Amino acid sequence: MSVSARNLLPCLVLAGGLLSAGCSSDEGSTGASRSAVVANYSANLYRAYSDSADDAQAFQADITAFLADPTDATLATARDSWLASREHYMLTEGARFYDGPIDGTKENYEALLNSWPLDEAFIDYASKDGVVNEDVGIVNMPELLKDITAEGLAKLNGSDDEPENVSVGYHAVEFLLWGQALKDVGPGERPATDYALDGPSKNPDRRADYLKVAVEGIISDLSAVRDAWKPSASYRVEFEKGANQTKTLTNIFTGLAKFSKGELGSQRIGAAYESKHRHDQHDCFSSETLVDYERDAVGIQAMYLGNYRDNDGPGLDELVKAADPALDADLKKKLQASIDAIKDIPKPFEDAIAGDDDSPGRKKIQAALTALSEQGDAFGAAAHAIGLTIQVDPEE
Amino acid sequence: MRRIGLIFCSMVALLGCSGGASPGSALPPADPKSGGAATTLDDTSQAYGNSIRKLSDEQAGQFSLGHSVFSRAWVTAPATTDNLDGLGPLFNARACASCHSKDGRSAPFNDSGALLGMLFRLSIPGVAENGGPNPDPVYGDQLRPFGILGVPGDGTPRVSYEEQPGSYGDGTAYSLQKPSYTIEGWNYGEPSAELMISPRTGPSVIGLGLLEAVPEDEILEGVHGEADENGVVGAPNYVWDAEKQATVLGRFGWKANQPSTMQQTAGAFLGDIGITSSLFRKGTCSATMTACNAATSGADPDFELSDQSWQSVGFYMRSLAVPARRAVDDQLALQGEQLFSKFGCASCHRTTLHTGLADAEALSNQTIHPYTDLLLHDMGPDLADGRPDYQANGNQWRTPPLWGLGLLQKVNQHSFMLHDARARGFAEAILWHGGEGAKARENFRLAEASERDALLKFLESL
Repeated sequence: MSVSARNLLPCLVLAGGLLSAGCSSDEGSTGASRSAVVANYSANLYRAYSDSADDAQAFQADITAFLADPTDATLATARDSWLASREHYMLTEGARFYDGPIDGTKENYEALLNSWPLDEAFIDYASKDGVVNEDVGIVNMPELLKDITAEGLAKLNGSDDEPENVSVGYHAVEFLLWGQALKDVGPGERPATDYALDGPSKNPDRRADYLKVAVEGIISDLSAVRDAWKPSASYRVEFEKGANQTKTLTNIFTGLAKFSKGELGSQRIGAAYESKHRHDQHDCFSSETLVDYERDAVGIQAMYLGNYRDNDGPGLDELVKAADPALDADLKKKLQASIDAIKDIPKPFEDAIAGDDDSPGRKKIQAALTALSEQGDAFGAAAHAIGLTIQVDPEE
Repeated sequence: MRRIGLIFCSMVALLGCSGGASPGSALPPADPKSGGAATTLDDTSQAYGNSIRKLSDEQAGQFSLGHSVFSRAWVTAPATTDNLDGLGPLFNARACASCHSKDGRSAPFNDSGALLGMLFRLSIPGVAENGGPNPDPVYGDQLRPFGILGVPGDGTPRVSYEEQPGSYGDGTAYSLQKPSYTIEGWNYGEPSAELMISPRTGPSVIGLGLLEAVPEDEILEGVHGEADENGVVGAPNYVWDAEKQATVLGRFGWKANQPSTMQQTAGAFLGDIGITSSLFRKGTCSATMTACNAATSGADPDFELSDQSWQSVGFYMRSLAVPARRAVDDQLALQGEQLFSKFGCASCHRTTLHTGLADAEALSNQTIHPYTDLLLHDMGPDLADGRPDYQANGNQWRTPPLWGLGLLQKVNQHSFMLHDARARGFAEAILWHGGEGAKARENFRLAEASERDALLKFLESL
């Protein structure tokens, strides 16, 4: 039978459904069962979100200490703590893009937690071209919000019913700790005295309230996502149900592929590479962008392998290996290659994106982009190998 | 991946699992590639967000940046994100993606009745210098309900609906919701007594590069000198092209009032988000809007949207692929496709067009199925906005493309259709048709339930 290109598309569309309907055996003769892989994936994810929420609690303690005594030393501790508190969350990001608890509910916790860039002047004073405007932002406009509370912020944010909520989350806190990054290279230089009641800046008490409320928001949002992955939670029960196995595995691969190629590659690295604009990077206030990107890539690899911290459970790799060992080996190689490529980019990121395309930094970034793009495609091929159809850069 | 696809197909054939294998009279499978080579297989909630294939590295970079600019919220100036500052001071939305959520169409209002994915065009009688609508002296040509901190928005739009009962030919009842719009609290004084308001929802942005690449001659082939047997005329809109400084054929927008994706983009940045560009450098605060005029501009140095961002968003919109048609061998859907022509729907919703050369390989020389003729049609008094827009009169609307619309519910969690999103799904959208669409509507309304179901099944497969 010859298959014309014209008829190829419906075949591909049909393939996933048919296989799940029993047109193919469920799994290879060796390796882990699909249900074990799915169960391990969600158990790891639940642990990672639990750790993230715990990290945020620990971070909150350092914020409390900083606000009680705002000095250069306590600010430095709070900043270090912010960076540390994001590690486990970054490892979860491969679980996006399939309408799961992190980004598939009405609240869109991902947007609440990790939106960037930020509307700085909506939050606090801002300067441009050396001119500081101390009268802008919710911090400096008590007439807009008398008491800075979570409800008040939500209301003000939502007052125009825009879907974006750019004044809360990790990056709002980052801004409140580091301030605007006004130099070409390096972090913002917000002084600790911004929070000192007798300091030179206006509204230190309101700024402190804002910081407190924003951190509380992170804890509460992370807790909500964590709870949706609890073993007894309805989302997780459905996710792990045998009848949903094809859909669940398709989701898992879709998340990993799209996060690799579309988000981490195209959006977080590619857009900044194109614009050469330092503020298109993920952590422009703290200048710690490359730490995030490496954690993201490590998280993707760990999800494929079924690993999280000390747990090395049955991973997606075992399913792929049983179907096509060469493809599995290739994907593993690519996952490591993209981590290595990101590590290879000279820090800080804003320096690396500058210059012409032959500059060492930009060449390294281009290499990371290529690696992530190939990794995304390899996830597509791996999914196909185990009878799934995912939609990353589909070929005929 | 081609190899893998072939393996699947042969497996499907070997196992005898392919559907729709009824004998003899079975209708042949439809062409799934609604967008030709610019078709994507994605049928998830992200179905509208895929790039066309075969992009060069440079184009892939443009797509990345374009997606980034399209998705991100603009912020108040001054901000260190100075490539993204300059929001407003008056605006309708903070991001392209506010109204075109997931590259689709946001719901018009949220659950509490506040504005989400709609805008309101304004004008007063007369014609502007470029032949377009004559703006209100204070409020301009578009309502901006929001302002940055300290700048009041123009006013708050509200909608209320009244149910209008009706029935199909077989007596089955239906109800249509008829909208009424009011603007509460004009913050800069009463507008002109003759103000005309046209509510419009943001359409999905898939396949625009294909539509832009359809040669003008092929579009004009759809123009009938006088009404055909279905009462269909079809008229082109001719609109001002600010780049070419000339009047040209309009293609985009609910009234075909935009000539190109680039102008549509720059126009939406200005009107919707308050972002100036090299094409539209002047902001939208009128002289009497003190706080608006006093607000800091994000201009860098003359305008807010860099040419690179503008070009990238333009390319992004041109290179979003069209979702493949699904259920291509479903006999009911195929019967519905035949009825689509028989009822007269295809007179305006042209099933097949062709593209010429475009700036990306997958867009060039393709046979496509957009289900639009890109022309204006009188849709009758019930849908009329009563507001002229270049050559379009107050009764005319451009035939909207139907490709990908079957995935609207999945992508945007609603099925609101028509220019102001009043229709709750395909059936209501058809039942609202009047004027040149009246005959096709009656053919649908009076058809047997099984035929109506077949037609809807076809539309759901797009």
